[in-house]
Amino acid sequence: MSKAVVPISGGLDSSVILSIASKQHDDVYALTYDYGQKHKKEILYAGLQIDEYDNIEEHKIIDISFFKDIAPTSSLTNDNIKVAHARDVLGDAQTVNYVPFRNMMMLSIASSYAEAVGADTVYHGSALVDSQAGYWDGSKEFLNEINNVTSLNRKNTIKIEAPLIELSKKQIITLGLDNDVKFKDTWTCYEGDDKACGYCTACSSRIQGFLQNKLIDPIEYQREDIPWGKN
Amino acid sequence: MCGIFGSNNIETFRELCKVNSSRGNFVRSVTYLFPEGLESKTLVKTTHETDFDKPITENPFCIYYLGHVQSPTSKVREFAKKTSHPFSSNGKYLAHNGVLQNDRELIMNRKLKNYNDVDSSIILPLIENIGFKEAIEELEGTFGCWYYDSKKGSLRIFRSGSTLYYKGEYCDGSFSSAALPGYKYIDEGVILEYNFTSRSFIEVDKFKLNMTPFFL
Repeated sequence: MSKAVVPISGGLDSSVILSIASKQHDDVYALTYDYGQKHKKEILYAGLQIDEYDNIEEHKIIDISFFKDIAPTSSLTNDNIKVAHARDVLGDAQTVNYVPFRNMMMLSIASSYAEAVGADTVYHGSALVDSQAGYWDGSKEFLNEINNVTSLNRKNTIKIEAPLIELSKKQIITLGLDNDVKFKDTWTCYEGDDKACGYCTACSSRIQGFLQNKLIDPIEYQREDIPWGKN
Repeated sequence: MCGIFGSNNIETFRELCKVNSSRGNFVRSVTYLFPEGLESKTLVKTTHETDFDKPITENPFCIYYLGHVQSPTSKVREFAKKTSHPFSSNGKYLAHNGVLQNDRELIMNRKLKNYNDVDSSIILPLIENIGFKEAIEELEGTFGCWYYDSKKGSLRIFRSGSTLYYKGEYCDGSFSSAALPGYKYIDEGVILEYNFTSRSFIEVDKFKLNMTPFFL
């Protein structure tokens, strides 16, 4: 029996990952992290996504909100730091939206959970755009290195899979459509407002992905200059 | 994941280097442009430095200073000129800030040569292969670049996605990936050329934007 652990944030990329994993594995163990993020509402969206699949054995919500205390340098975990807009930071080596070593911490927890439940695969939601936005822990190099570390395990080999790591947002949305992902049940924005801002790096890549697919994103945005239906 | 900047004024250039250093603290390059007719016949000289505390030397004959600061995008932490900006070929020099996403495709489709593992290294071979404007219209991903053709004495800057700012109506003659107070965005898809006589940038052309991964 094939088992996998899937960290799901509630965002678009991990919703597509979940659709892939639920097809490829008999049992899926889902994890969602509360790391003290401003956009905590994404956790609710993770719950909505879980309901779509019948082979999810368990959905754990893990509290690692101590990140707020140990990593107050990030706009995502510090209310006093403004979330950076994509147009202001593209090309920056490490934007203010970066949460120090967050992905390594999350993947370590997911690997620990995988070993405990007997899963041999842990999914990682990084996509091509993460490297482009400056996240070193969303890069292919990071994926290779973390797999080198998990391969040192002497008894249980756990592979970290990142099926979206070379895909553009346009390609990810296409893949999600093929897998019947309900994009209205996803939350991507780094702000935790009622409507997505449309300006942060997460929103701007999501919007571009829909525009490039000539689709209208089913979620609402505060931003009013998005040319839906005009491209 | 870098910063590019340039100025005809050494003090402004040093200031721009400082403001860009948070974007890349691994290696810094300074490219000096010289007028024709100097006895040494040197038109372009580049120096690299990993110690950012070392001051940038003024050269009294330099007519324009071009800079690049680089952050490492792999675990390699040793400086290698071959993989550092600016890249150069046949009297052409180019420094890039951003991440290309179709570099490997272009290598195959355009049968490019003289590139290395760094995505930016394909831009000059592509320009040599199909021409300047045609080349930048084929690039996908994010880029802000300075490009100098020493044979033509042509210095150009352009961007798609990556940040790039200027001061005033291009007339200050400076540009930068990170902004100083009063700096504004250079429009995406615009090609600016530096006029060495008026000491300012002038819009000379536009290029078609291609697959920027962000809606800005």
